[in-house]
Amino acid sequence: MYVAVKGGEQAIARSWDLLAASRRGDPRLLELELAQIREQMRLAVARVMLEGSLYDENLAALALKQAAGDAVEAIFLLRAFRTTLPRLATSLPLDTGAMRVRRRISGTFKDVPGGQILGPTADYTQRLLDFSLAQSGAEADCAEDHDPLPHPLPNVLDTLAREGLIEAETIPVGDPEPPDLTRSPLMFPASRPARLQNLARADEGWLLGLAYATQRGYAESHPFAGEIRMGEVGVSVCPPELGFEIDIGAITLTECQMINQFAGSKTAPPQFTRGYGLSFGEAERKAMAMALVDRSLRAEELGEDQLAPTQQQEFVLYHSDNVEASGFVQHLKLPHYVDFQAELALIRTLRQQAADLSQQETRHD
Amino acid sequence: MQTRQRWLSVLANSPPNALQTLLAPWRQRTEAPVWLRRAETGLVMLQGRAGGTGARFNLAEISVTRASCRIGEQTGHGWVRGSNAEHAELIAVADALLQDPRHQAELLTQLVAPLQGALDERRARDARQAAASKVEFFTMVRGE
Amino acid sequence: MLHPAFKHPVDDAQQTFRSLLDALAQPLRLSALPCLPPALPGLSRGSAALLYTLIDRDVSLWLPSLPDDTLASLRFHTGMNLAANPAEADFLLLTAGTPLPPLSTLKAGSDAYPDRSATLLIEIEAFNQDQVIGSGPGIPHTRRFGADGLPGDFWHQWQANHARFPLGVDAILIADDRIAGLPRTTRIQEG
Repeated sequence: MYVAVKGGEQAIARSWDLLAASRRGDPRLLELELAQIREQMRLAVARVMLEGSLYDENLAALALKQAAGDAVEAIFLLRAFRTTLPRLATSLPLDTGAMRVRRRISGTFKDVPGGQILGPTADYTQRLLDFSLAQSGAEADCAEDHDPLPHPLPNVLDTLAREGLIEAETIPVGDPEPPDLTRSPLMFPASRPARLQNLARADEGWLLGLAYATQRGYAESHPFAGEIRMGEVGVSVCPPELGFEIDIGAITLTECQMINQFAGSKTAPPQFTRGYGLSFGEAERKAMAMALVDRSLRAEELGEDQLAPTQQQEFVLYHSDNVEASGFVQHLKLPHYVDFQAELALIRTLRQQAADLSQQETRHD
Repeated sequence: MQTRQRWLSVLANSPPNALQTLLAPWRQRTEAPVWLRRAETGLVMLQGRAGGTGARFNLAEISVTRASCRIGEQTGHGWVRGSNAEHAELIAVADALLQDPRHQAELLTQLVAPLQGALDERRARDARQAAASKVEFFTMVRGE
Repeated sequence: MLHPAFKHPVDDAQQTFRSLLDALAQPLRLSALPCLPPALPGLSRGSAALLYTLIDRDVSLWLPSLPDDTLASLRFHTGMNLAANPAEADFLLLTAGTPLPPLSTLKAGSDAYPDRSATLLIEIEAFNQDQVIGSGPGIPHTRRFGADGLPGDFWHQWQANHARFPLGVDAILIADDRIAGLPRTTRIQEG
């Protein structure tokens, strides 16, 4: 039970001032500009945009500044803001095959068509703190002495698909409109499109932990990173006043195609199956974790035993949203005074009853 | 329509300040736009496909700004991702002027072509830089 | 050719929405719409104002046949989705002279979601005070009301609609720039 509590307005106003001062830190230092956050904290921005479910680098940078770098709080701010904007259209499906690739690697084939392109990755750094970054001024000089990458870059999995060694991923009959979790609540069993939307919005830490669990044995998972690609993809819409598709600008996406073993079933021969991850910006870890969990949640449709929590839709999808999770955990800070009084009275009564009982038993002895 | 589709894409993918600079002389010498819709920011739901090529799913939204105007007989529409109101209105104005047979040829060479050139160069530079990080494998032959 | 809509799309739609809330909260009381966009061929200014306020791409709208310019302008400003037939529509606009689809065939909501029902926007010629007596929530005692240009058996059908509460449809009557709300809760006595 919650109690309507009045008072505290002045204390709240003072807490806002303290929050603002604490956000600003030492006022002798220059204040952060949004452009600096947008350009130099781009992975934090990508995470806030993806889990905040709104691709807008400037708004995400503002949210991060306002939240003093707290990603989950910034995500909450962005989610709240998006509810104030009208929805103007739905995009045409993003064509990741036409991505202008800046990074593309495969863990399954050394010689993939187009090659292994490392791009801007921290994978080959030694994770030693670089003290030169403590001073400013260093500018990277990127080599441009190569022929441009071919465009579009062929998909790695196409080779396996041509031989029928991996399940086909084709458009279902009628190309149905997918469910939209921002308009209608999640229902179980959830279709794969509903699951993918949930996983895209899911907390990265939650997904990473679950993905790790699938690899450690909490799912029938034997994954390979078939292809990971990152780069720019054009967004297209078809405004009714124009009546034809137009490109309204490009966004950065990371896509992960996981390949998993599949023993086959009564209807399907043994073949590789897929797990899919798609994230904003260079959020590669998120895309990989999403792909692993997408695959573990396909257990039922593939007729696999469902023994692990990572294969249970309700467990995974109901607890993936960090705005909901944070709200429910943090609501415990709200006054539960009457609630607690009731519990207190109950405990006192029970203790009294227990004491009375033991006294009676002592007398009987 | 294909030409219009192409110029709308170039305008949306170009930096708004470059567009503004190149468009400025025309704005001075043509009539002022009548706004059917001043710039308005809203959302577009981005859809992806499972596995890249399968069933559609809703990924997340993106902020988009649009504007529409009429100049003379022509109606121009601007749609651009992000929340830059000026960018959307510049596209709408350019789109209206580009449809006017009196200005089209000139605008295609003096506005669209340079923006397209800069865009192509940016994309080619990114593709060259990415290509420079391509792995060249060496096969070590050992033993007999 | 596209016609312009509200001068200030957000503010004007908010003010219109506010006056709609008042109209439904005080049924059968006439109120003037605060913001009027330029008229669209075939539609009154009031209807245009209500459509710009209520319709977006998430709802379906049933329209009678209207000039192409009007349809294109409405589509441009509202993003409307047209319903294939009245029974599927969330909103229905009936211009003067359009036959009224039987109210019982329209979306009436369900017991779990009575709000998933149709709202009718009905253009009439003029308001008067001598057709019916209304009562119910939002009406102190009773209120006399009438509308010229309503189909003959409208009030009879309305009584059946009221009897289905909490299911049923709601209506807004429009005479140029003036409107009156008629929610399903309003009880109507003829005479």
